[in-house]
Amino acid sequence: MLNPFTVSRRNILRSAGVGFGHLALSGLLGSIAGKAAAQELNSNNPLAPKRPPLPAKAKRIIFLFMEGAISSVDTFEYKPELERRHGKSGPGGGTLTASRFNFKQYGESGAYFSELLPNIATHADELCFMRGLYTDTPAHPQAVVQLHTGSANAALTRPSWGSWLLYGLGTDNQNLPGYITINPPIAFGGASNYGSAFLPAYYQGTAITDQGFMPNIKAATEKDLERQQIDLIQDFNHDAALAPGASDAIDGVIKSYELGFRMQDTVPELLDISKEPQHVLDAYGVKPGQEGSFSRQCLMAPRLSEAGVRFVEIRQAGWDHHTNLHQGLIDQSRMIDQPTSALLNDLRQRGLLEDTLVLFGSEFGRLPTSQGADGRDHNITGYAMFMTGAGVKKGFSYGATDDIGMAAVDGRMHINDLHATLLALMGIDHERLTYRYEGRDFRLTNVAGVVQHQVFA
Amino acid sequence: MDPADRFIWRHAPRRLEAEEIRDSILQSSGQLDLSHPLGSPSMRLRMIEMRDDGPVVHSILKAADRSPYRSIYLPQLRGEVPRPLAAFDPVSQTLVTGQRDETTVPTQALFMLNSPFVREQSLFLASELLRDKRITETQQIRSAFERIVARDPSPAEIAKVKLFLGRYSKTWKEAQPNNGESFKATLANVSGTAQGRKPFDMTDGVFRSDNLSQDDPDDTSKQFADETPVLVVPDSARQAAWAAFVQSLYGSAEFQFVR
Repeated sequence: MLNPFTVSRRNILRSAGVGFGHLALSGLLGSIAGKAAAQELNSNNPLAPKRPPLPAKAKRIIFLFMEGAISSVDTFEYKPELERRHGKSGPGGGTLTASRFNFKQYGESGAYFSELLPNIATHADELCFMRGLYTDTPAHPQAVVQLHTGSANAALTRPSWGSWLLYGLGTDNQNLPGYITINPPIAFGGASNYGSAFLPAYYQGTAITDQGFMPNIKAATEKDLERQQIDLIQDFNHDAALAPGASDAIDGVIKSYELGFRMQDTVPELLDISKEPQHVLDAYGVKPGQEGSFSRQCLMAPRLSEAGVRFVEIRQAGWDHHTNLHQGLIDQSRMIDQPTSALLNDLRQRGLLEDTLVLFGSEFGRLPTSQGADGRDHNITGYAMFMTGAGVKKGFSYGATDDIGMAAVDGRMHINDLHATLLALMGIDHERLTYRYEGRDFRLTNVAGVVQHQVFA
Repeated sequence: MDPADRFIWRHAPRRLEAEEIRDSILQSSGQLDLSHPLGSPSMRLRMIEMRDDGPVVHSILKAADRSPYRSIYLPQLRGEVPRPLAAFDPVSQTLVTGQRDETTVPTQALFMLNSPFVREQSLFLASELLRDKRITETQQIRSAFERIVARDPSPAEIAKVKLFLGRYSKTWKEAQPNNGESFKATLANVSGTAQGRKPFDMTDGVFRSDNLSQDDPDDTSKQFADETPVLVVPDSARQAAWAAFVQSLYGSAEFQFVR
C-alpha cells in the first residue's frame, strides 16, 4: 500500500528491514512518557496535522446526524403549494399532506421555520441551507452508509468521510483521537460509518457513548507502573512487526497503545460535563437519560472541537416517522431544538464558528405525501440540510425542491457533491485526495462529485 | 503472493475476533469452562421492551462479565454488547454481517490495559504460575509464553521479562500507600480452576423487568452508572509484577493476530 505522504521514507525503512513503528518506538522504549510523546510528534506521524493543499475555510467539522430522516416539509421547508394541494393526489400516487405545523419567517433572511424548531430558528441569518439534495437508495442501511462513506455499495466498504479527512489533514491534538463519533449508529452499517476500511487503521473514528463514557479509559494502575507495562508490550509488538509475514495492522497496534496512554488523561476531562456550571447545563437543556441524550452530546461536541478534534459526529436517532409523525416530530424536536441552538451559540462565543463547520441533516428526506394516517415515507429525490460556520454563506439558501417539496429541481446536490463541497471547504480537492487500493485510486467521492461553490462565502 | 487468501496453503495474518480473544484469554488463564451451560442469563427476561440503561440490562451485562463459558454462550441483547467483547469489533445484533470489521483503535489498547476482565484473568494466570514453587523463574516465564502465545521465548526475551519483573515489583512496592489500608487479592468472580468449580446459576442476579412505565424517560431513579469499579488488586509485589507481565502478553499484537 502506498501512502503518498510518506512513501519514500516508508519504503526505505521497509527495505532496511525495520518496521514503520520502529521510529516511534526508538524514542519510547525505556523513556519517560513526556519525552516519548515529543519524539513521536517529530517522527513520521501520519496523524500529524498537514497544511491543506487548497485555501481552507474550515479547520474542523461537527456533524449533527438526524438518523432516520427528518421531515423537511415539517421543519424548515415551507411549501405553501403543498398546503393548497392538501388532500389531492401526488405525483406518482399517494395523497399530498400539508404540514400540521405552523411556519413563520425569521431574521432578515426571512428563512422559514416551523413551530417545531423555535430555538434553531433564531439562527436563521447564520445558516446556509442546501435544499436540493438527493441520494441513491431509499433504505436506511445503504443511505446511512452512503452518507458516511460516499458509496452504498455493500460489496466494498469504503472509508468514512472522517477517515478521509484525517488521512488528508491529520489532526491538531495528538493526545486525542482525531475523529470522534458520539452515540454512533449501532445498526445501518454500524462501525462502517466511522471505520477506515482500506485506509490505514489509525484513521478510524473512536466511538463514545452519550454519557461521555468510554470503556476502560481510566488507568487501572499508577502512571509509572503502567508505562513500564506499555514499554514491555511495545517491545513485544516491535518484535512481532519485524517477523516475516507480520500483519500491517501491528503498526496500528503500536500507535494505539501510545494514543491510549495519553487519552487516559485528556479524554475524561473533556467529556466530564458534570463539572459544567448550572447555567451552561440549563442553556443546553441537559437532562439525564434518553430525553437528554442529544443535549449531552451537544455539550460535549464543542469541547472536543475546541480541543482540536478534526471531525466530531453526534447523533439523534428516531426520525423515521412512517407512523406517529405528529407526536413523534414534537418529541424529537424537543430533544434537539434547544441543545442545537445552544451548541451554535457556544461555538460562536468561543470564536470557533470562524473556523468550524457545522452540518445538520439526515440520510434522505420524507415525502410530502402521507403514509397511513399519520406518517411520511422515505424521499430520496429531494431534501434539505443546513450548514453554518466557517466558509459558508450566512442567511443563504442554495437549491430548491419543487413547490410541493418532492424532488430537487434547482441546485441539485448528490451526496457526492455534498462530500466534494465539504472537502473543498476544508481545503482538499476531492479528486486529488486518493488512496491506492487493489490497483485503483479510490477517493471519497468515488467517480463523481462537483464542488458547489455557490455556498462558499 | 495471494493477498486475498484465495488458496488454502496459507492465510494472511488476521486479527482474532472478539469471541476468540475472550475465549483464548480464558483458556490460557485456566478459567474457561468448556461444558455447555445450563441456560442463559436472558432466560429470565420477560418479553417486553426495556431501557438500555436500566437495571435489567445492567444485570445482564454483569452476568456476562461473570460467565466462564465460551463466548458463543454469552447473552447478546440487541444493542448491548457483552463488555469483554465490545472492544474487538463484535457484530451488531441487528444486522447480518458477512464479514467482520477489523479495526485497530486505542479503545482496544485501553481494554487490554484497564479492563477488569483482562486484569482479572492476568491475575488468575499469574497466581497459577507462581503456585508451583519448585520450578524456576525461567520455567515459569516459558510456561507463560507457551500458554499465551504458544511458543518458547528466546533467551533475549526471557532476560527482558526478568528485567521487567524486577523493575516492576520495585516500583510497585514504592507506589503502595502507607495509610494502613489493607488490600487483598479481590478476585471478583470465582477462584480456582474451571475444573474445580461447580456449575452456577446463570440467571443469578438477573432482573426480570424494569417495572418502569415505558413512557417515562425522565425517571432517573433506576439509572445505573456505566461502570462500578471492579477492584483487581494483587497481594504482593511479585504477584503484581507477574500479573502485569501476563497482561502484557495478552496485550501484545502477537496474541491478537494469528498468522
